[in-house]
Amino acid sequence: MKCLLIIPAYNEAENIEKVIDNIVCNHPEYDYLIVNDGSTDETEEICKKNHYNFVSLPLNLGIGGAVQTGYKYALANHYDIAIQIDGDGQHDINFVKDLIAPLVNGEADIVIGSRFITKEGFQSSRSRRMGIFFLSGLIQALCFKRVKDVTSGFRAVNKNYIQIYAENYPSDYPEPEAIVVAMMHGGRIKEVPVIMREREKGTSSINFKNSIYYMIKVTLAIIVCRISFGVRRGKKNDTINA
Amino acid sequence: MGIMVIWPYTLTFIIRIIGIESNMNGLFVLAIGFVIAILMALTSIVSKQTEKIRSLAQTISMLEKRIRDLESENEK
Repeated sequence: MKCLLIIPAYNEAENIEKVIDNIVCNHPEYDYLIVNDGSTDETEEICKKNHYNFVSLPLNLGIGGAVQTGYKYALANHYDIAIQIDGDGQHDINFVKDLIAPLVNGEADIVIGSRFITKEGFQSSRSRRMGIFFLSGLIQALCFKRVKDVTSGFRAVNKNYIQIYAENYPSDYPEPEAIVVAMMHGGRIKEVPVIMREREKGTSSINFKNSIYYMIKVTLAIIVCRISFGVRRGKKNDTINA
Repeated sequence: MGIMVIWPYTLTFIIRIIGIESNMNGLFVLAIGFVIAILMALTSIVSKQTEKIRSLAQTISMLEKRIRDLESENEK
């Protein structure tokens, strides 16, 4: 089983060295790929200096475009499993083996590392938890399946879904929408408890001003995504019936 | 729209068919309709181009990585 860790990094010069050194020293069984998303700081220089395995996007595509680059790379290099990890050290590499276990067994197509199952470790602020609860409810209403931690960026997918995500991955704030994409393809989604840490340096990409935009944008995007797949699925059924 | 500028009577004719009494009101309705149509066409073009730029950037980055890998192999 070839496993690839996809690490999107935008202005993560302070954290990236620690994250990668941890992977290289403690978990050499996993390959990794840093996707430098047009950073304006020294992220690229650090990667070059240390001879990390990285791709560098010429412009800032946002997290969705960066992660999709990782999936395209995984597809081109025939990886069996791709795991998404944030470049800021929030996610513990030790949990990767828990994440890929259901994929190896063939129990699931997509595994999401969830911090709300055992409720241990960093739980995020109250307002964010409310936002996540709302999005989780929305996805359940649209797709009839409950996923607790919809905004978790810690997830693993199998070969099938590497291909689907390489072709079609949402942009901007993609995490909840990617779940809907997977569900619409009939993917089996499983959540695994993980413990997340609070980010050490740098700030989150979502601050208060953005959070309102985030909620509106993601809500609309999820609904539009659901509708567009409904239409496509209808067309597919028609061709089968005809 | 151009036809209506050159032969203004077509405007009155269309407006009478729809059943609008005042010419100016009819003109506004038609104009807003045209503007919305253009807006939607442009929005769809922007979306398509965004998608293309994204795919280009991703391809470039992966090619750049390949060049880098090949160069470092050559140096060895």
